[in-house]
Amino acid sequence: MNNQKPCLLFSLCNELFGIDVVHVIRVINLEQLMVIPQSPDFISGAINLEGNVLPVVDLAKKIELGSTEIKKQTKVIIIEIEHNQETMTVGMLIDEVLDVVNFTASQLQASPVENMGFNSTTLEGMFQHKNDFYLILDANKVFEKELATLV
Amino acid sequence: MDFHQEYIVEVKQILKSLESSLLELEKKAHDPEEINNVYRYLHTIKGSAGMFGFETIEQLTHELEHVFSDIRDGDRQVDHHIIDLTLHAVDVLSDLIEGKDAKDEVQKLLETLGSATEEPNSTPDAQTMSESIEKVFIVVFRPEPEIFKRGINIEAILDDIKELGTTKMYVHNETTPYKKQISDKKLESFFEIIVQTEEDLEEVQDVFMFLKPSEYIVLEVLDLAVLDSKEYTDAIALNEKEKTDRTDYLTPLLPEPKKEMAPSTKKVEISSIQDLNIDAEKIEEKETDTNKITNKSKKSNHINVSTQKLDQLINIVSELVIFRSEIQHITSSIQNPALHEAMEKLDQLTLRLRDSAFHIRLVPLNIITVKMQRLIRSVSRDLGKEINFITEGMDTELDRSMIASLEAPIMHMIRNAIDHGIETPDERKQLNKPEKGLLKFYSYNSGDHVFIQIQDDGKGIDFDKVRAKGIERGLIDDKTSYSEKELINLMMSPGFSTASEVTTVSGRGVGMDVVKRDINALRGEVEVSTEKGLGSIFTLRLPLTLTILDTLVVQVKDNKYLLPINEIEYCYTTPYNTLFNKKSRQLNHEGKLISLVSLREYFEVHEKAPENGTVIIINKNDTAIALVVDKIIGKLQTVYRPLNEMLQSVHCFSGASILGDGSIALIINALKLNK
Repeated sequence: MNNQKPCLLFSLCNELFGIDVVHVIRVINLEQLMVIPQSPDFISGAINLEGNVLPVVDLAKKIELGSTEIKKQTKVIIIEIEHNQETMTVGMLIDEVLDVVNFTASQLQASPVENMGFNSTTLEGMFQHKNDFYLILDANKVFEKELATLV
Repeated sequence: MDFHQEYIVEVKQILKSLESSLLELEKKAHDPEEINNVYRYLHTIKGSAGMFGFETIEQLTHELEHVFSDIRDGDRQVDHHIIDLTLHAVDVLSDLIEGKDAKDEVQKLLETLGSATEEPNSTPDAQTMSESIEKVFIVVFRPEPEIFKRGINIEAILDDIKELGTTKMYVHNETTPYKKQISDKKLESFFEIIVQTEEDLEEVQDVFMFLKPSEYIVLEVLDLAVLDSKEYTDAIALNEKEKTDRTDYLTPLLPEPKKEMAPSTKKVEISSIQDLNIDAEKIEEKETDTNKITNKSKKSNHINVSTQKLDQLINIVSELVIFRSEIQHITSSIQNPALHEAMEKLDQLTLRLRDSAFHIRLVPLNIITVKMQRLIRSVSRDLGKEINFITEGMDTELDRSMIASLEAPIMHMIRNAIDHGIETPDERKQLNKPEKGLLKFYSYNSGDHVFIQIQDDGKGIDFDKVRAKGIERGLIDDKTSYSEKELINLMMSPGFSTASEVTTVSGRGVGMDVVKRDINALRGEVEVSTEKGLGSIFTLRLPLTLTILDTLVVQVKDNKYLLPINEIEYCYTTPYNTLFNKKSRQLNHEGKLISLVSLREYFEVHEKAPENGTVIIINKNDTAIALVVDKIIGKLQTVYRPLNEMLQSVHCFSGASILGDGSIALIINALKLNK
C-alpha cells in the first residue's frame, strides 16, 4: 500500500530495465530521427514531438552499455526530469516495452555493483519479477551531468 | 493593481524556491551554489518588496540577506539555528504577503537576528499611522492627448492616487466611458479627484512624476474657499450643481478627520493590499456584470490566459499546418479542380490561423513600463536622486514569456544605474550637469534580434575602482593589466560590487552576474559601453524566440538545413573542386579573404561531393563567412523552435524548425562554424 511505485519495464541490448513511471510521459514509435551533426556522442538525434524538437538519447551509449541498433520496432520513451524547478524532456531509445508493475520500496534490492558491464551508478536498485531481475534506472542519475549544466 | 497580484504570485514562487534551497542547504551545509541561491532569492524578494512599498518584508529580507552574505563570505557557518530561523522567516514572509498580520513575529525575528535595535526608526508600527492627521487635496488631472505615446499608463496613475487614501473621482467630459477611451487611446476626459490622505503635498505630486506640469494641479484643501480660488477655477469650470456637490462632499472632511479612518495608508503595507483589492472590486462592479474570470484583468477587452493554454493552442496549430501539408501531398495526385481549390483555401486559412496564433504570444514591452516607473520613483526617492526617465520603442513586441524573464534583469539594471551611475543633484550641479539625471530606456528590432538599451548620464564605470575591488576580492591579481572589456566581465562575475557602502537598493553585488546569467539563459547577450563622467549604456541583445523566421532551405547530403535569410548576402553555384583544391580555406569575396566552410566537411559527411556546390556568403554583425552547401531548395517561412537544454552545447545550430512534412530542419548559426 504505502510507497507503491509503478515502474515501466523494458528491454535494451538484451538486458532488462525498469524506470519509475513518474518520469515517463509516453512511449512512441521511432519515426523520422534527424541526426544532429556535432552533437554529443550519446545523442542519436532529434524528433518532432508535437511541434517541439526533442533530443533522443541512445540510452545504451549513455550508460555505457553499447549502442542501440535502430530497428523497425525501436521505441522511444519520452521522459521528463525535474531539477531545481526546471524540467528537461528527452527521449530515450529502447528495444521493447515489457510491462508496468507495482512494487514497494522494500522490494527494491541492491543491484550487484561489479561486472555489470555498464555504468551501474545510474541504478536505483534491482527488482525481481517472475524470476527475472530488472535493473531499475534512476533518471536523475542517468542525466546527472546534463542536469548539472541546467541553470 | 494587477501587478500587485503578479508580485504576490512571484514572491510566493520565490519563497517556495527559497524553502527548497534552504532544505538542500541543511543537507549540504557548505554547498556554495545553494548559499548563493538563498542569497539571490532573498535579494530578489527584497528588491521587489522595496519597489512595492512592502517595508516589513524588505526589512526582514534585508537582515536575512546580511546573514547569508556573511555565510557566503565565510564569516559565519550554516547551522541548524540559522536554517530554522530562515525557514521560520519564510513562513512569516508568506503570511505577510498574503496580508496576514505577522508584526509580532517579524519583531521577534528581527530581534533574534540581532539587528532590531540598530534600526529603531524603520520599524513599522501602527501608532504613527493613527496619530497622523489626514489632509484633503483636490487633484485635477488633465492628460494631453498624446500621453499614450509617452508610454504612460493613465490607469496606473489613477490607481496610484487611489492608493493614497480615500478618494472620490469625478470624470469630466465623459461622453464615452473613460476606460474605453483609455483602451482606445483617445482621451477626451479629464479627471478631478478629491483625496483624503496622510501623505504630504509632495507625495501626492509624486504620483505625477512623469507628467508635464501643465497636465495636473494638486491643491491642498484647507477650507471651502479653495473652490473659488483662481487656481481651481482656472483648471475647472463647474456649474452650480457640481459646486454644491463638491461643497457637500468636502464639508464633513474638513473640520476634523472623520471617525472612520481610511482603511488604507501607504505606511501599513498589509492593509494597502486589501485596500487595493477592494478598489479592484469597486471598479469591477462599475463595469457590467463581469464574472470572476475578468476579475484579474482591468480592461474589459482583455482577458488573461495562461501561457500554458497558449502553448497548447500553438502546438495544435503547428500540427494542423503539418497535417495540411500531408493532405496536400496525398491529394496532389488526384485530378479534381474543385478539390485543389478547396485545398488552396484551407492552405490560406491555416497559414492565417498560424500567424494569428503566434501573434497572441507577442506583447509590447510597455507592459513593464509601469513597473519601471514605480521602481525609479521609489529608488530615486530613497537615494535622494532626481531622474528624468525617457522611454522609446516600447511598442517593440516580444514573446510574453521572454518579457517575464526579462523583467528581473531590467529592474536590476535600472536600480544599478540609479544607485551606482547617476550622481546626487549636488554632485551633478558641480559637474555642470542638469540636476535631473537622465535615464533612457529604448528598444528596437534589428534583424532577428531585439535590442534593449538602458542608458544613463551618470558617472560611468570607474575602472580603477573595479580593478581595486577585484584585487581586494581576490578575483584578479594586481600585477597583470586588464583591458576594459576584461574588467567589465569581472564586474559581471558573482560576488562583485563597486558600491563601497551597502545599500538596500543594490545590495552587495548580486546584480550584474544575475543579469548576465538571466540574459544568457534567454540566449541573449549583455554588452556594456561606458565613458567616465558621461555615463554608461547597457545593451541587451535578445533573440526573438517563437517568432516566424524567413529562411533559406539548403541541402547537405540528405539533410535540410535552414539559414536566416536576413544574414545572407550573396549566393552562387560553382564547381566543387575549384573551391577546395587548396588546403587553405579562404575565399576572395569582394577583395577580402573570408573563411570558407564546407558543410559537408563540417558535418563529417564522407561521401563524394556533387560536381557543383553552392556558395552562400553570410554577413552577420559585420563578420562574413562563406558556406558551401550541395544546393538551395527554396525559401521558407518557418517557426523558430529553441533547442532542448541537452542540445545547447551544439553551438553551430541556433535552433530548429519543423518542416511541412513533419521532419526537423536545424537552423545554422553560421558564425559559430568557424572553428
